[in-house]
Amino acid sequence: MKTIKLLAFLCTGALFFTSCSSDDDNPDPVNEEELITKVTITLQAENAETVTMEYSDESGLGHDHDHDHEGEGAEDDHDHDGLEGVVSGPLKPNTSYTGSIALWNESVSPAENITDEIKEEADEHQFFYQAIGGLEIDTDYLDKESDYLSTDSSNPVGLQFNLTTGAAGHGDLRVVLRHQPKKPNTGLDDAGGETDMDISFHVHIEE
Amino acid sequence: MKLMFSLFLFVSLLVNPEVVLSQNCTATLQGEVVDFHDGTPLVNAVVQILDTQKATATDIDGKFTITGICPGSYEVEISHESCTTRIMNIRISGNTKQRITLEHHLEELKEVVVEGNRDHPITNSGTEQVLHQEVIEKFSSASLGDALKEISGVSSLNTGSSIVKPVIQGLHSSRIITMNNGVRLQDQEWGMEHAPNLDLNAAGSLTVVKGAAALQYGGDAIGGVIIADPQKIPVKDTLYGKTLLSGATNGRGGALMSSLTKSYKSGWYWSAQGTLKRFGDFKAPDYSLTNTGYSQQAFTTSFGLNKFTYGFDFYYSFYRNEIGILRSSHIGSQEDLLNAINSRQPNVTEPFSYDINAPKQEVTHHLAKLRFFRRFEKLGKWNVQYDFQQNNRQEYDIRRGNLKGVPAMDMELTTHTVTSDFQFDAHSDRKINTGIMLRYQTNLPDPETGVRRLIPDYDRYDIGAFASVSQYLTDALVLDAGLRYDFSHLDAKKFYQKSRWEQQGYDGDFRDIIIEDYGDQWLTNPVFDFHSVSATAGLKYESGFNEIHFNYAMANRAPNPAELFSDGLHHSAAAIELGDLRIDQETSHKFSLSFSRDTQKLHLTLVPYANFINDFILLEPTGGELTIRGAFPVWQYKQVNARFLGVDFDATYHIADNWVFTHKFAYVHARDVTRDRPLIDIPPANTSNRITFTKPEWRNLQLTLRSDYFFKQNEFPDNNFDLRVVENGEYVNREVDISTPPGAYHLLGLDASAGFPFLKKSELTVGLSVNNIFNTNYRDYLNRLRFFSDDLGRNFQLQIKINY
Repeated sequence: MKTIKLLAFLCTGALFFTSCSSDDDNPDPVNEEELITKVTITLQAENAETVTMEYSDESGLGHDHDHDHEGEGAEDDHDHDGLEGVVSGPLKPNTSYTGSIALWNESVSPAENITDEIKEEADEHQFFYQAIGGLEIDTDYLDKESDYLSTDSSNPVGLQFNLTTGAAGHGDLRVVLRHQPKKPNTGLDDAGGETDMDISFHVHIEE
Repeated sequence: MKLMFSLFLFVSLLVNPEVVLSQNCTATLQGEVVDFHDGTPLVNAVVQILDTQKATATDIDGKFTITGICPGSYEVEISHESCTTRIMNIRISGNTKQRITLEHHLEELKEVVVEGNRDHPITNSGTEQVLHQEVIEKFSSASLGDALKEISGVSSLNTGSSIVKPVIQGLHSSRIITMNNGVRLQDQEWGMEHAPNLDLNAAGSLTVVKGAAALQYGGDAIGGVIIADPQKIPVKDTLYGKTLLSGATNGRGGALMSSLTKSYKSGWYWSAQGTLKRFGDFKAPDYSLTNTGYSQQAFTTSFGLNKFTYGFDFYYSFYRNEIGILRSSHIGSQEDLLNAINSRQPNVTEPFSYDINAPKQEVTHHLAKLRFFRRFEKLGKWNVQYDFQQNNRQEYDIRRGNLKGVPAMDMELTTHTVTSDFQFDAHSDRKINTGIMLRYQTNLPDPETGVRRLIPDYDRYDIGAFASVSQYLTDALVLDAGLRYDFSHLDAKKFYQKSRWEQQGYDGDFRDIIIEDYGDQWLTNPVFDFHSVSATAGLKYESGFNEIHFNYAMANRAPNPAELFSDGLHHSAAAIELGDLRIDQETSHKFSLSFSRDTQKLHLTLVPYANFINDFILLEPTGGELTIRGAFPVWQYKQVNARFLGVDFDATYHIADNWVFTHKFAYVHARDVTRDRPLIDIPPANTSNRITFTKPEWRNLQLTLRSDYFFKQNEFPDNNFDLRVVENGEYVNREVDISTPPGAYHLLGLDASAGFPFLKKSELTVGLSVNNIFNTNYRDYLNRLRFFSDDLGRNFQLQIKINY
């Protein structure tokens, strides 16, 4: 009965595999590497105080959809569905600011500078700035792909921009980063691609 | 044989004397004699029932009928001009059908081998359907899922056109078992975007058992079992093979498949087969589907010894594919999804290319098996088998920086299985099949991906045992029954983010499974034991041209790893999908009936069924979550009671000598009875009609006109949600309609084929097909990419087959 012998051999083989692999080593944790956990926007103007806007989320994964703490201050009584950052102070009306945006992943150590990654892939990224709810703000791009890459392309990137305020008031400034958008495009609606970041800041324009 | 017959008569007499008294030699033997290699009908083969005066010759379609036979077991002799004669044993009762394959080998026309292939049913009372070589060859350049749609009640859940998962009577994924040459595929089938890792060109026949009646394969086949068997190798000295070359205009690619088999009279044999497929971007009627190309390489080899009383076989199969996923379906937020749904066409459309970029899947599957069998005189056949499988799945997302070439998911699933079964088949009226199964499986997700694991590390141990019996109660009535027990032990090591852990409420119920603290993550050790019992019982009744089957099957399915553990963002669905540790087994009770009538002119099968599934596991939206990419809905696995009612209908009508009409219809009505609402992703009613003209005298010309109509699915749950978006500088609410199924559609197709002698000893068959003749724009409810693009446009396909 050769078959029996072979069967016995197979069974022992199977048992051997089983016993070998039952070790108690714990797997290594994985830290999400592609997160954006901190975003800062710096706005500078000649005769106005510098304004910084900061968004930060340690886990980078957002939180439950929870509006419990919204609308506590009368003037903050506004609706939004996105994540909101903190603004250091009001902007001056009818003023032209020079803006720059920087992004980090602080969930890994050392913190990863995502701004640099975007520069390296400037042709695949674009920022969009949108004023919402009667906020009088206009933005223009100040940079182009050729600033970061050895290319002739003058498509905008949006790491550097010009922000001009109008009359006093308040509303949301929404900042969106799209990965692999259609370039050039006529704006957010036309750009396509996938959203890597979509945050907003409640901005006041005051004298 | 005579002794057996008398014994059989004696037993029948004991069981049901009336039947014997009324038994008046009215049984018929009906069938066709076809070429073993390519299924072409053999004309003028003589079929003779020995010890009787009954004999006939096959007609131009290879068909024959012998009537007026007294029920019993007979030796039947089949001969064909220039062939040596072969005798086989057939049990004839009622209207017995027999498909006989002769080896019509061009090199050695003088020798012939008969291989009885009685569409060998897997179950007695279950409902099942078989696809033969001729049909499989037509789908040579497509996938298993595409071919199986030829069976009524089988549809598919697609991700684009290259990832095709079979759906049997409304159920799919972990609810279906796929058997590849006797090995249960372990290829991470839980994923909605994971198609079976199996090259259909390696299969000689594909059988679908609709339901859990085939207990020998597993107790959890709530949806059914797909069985891919290789072609049988004759025991004789011969060398044969075939090559199939297909080219298609849509995708500008094709497939090359080749096989070679050598066998010896002594029972030894070897066989090898390989397939290469390569396609570029496919095309919808109005635009190119950027990044939908794919490439597949598959190879199988086997060798063994096939004596009557003992033998063994070794089989190895390698399967690898790389499938591009429509570029535009990779989206980053709900707003992107809303834009995609509203724009009605992909936002990225580039010129045709063969490049396969991210997002894409790369899967490699190795399967090796070693099987021994031995027959014991007056007892039965004993099989013992060991198989090994390794499945590596890598999924690539569009990523940034140095993670660009790194897969976002990289999992390796390794499985060892030992099975042994014994078929007691010495008794002509009673067959008993019994067996055991031992399995060890380990899943190893690679932590280097930089994305938290979707499915954790786990070890899984399974033990199963089954017994089934089929018993002739009378000549016309067969009873079958079976019972199976499975034990499954799952030991996982999973990281939970502390915020997720609390949000899921695990803190109270599962505090004791935490084994280590990693700052913002817990390492936990979930351990599960599942005991499952499955059972089946049924009756088959044959009377003249009619046959009735009734089957009841109870099956239990333990939750799969995705249902228990999944935890992450699903890109093309733009949803966060969460498993639940509290999910328990689901239990199905399925009743199916099958009426069939088979005369020379008309063949009808009607299969109504009812499937009641308790604790049915489904995925549905439960809330929202904000991330830096915007708001996402959270989809969680839940359990409800479900009810599936449906019917499959098949008809084949021989209108005239050369004309055949085929009709197929399937409908399933599925409801969540707990909350009284429809279930998601249920295939709509569909019907398919074909007219075929055959003229063997004209180089075996065959022309088929195909019409496939899919109704609109009107039964669907409303999972729509509101999204706040910015329009013209203001926030507005917009509804994201992810629920409404696309409209009905109708597709026409045409097939033509003819055969020509090639060289001296070979035959060449040329086939031309057109799919979607009118280049119709359509979207299918069960295509996960239906939000992003239309389905495939017109396609011309040319296929050349050489048998040698």
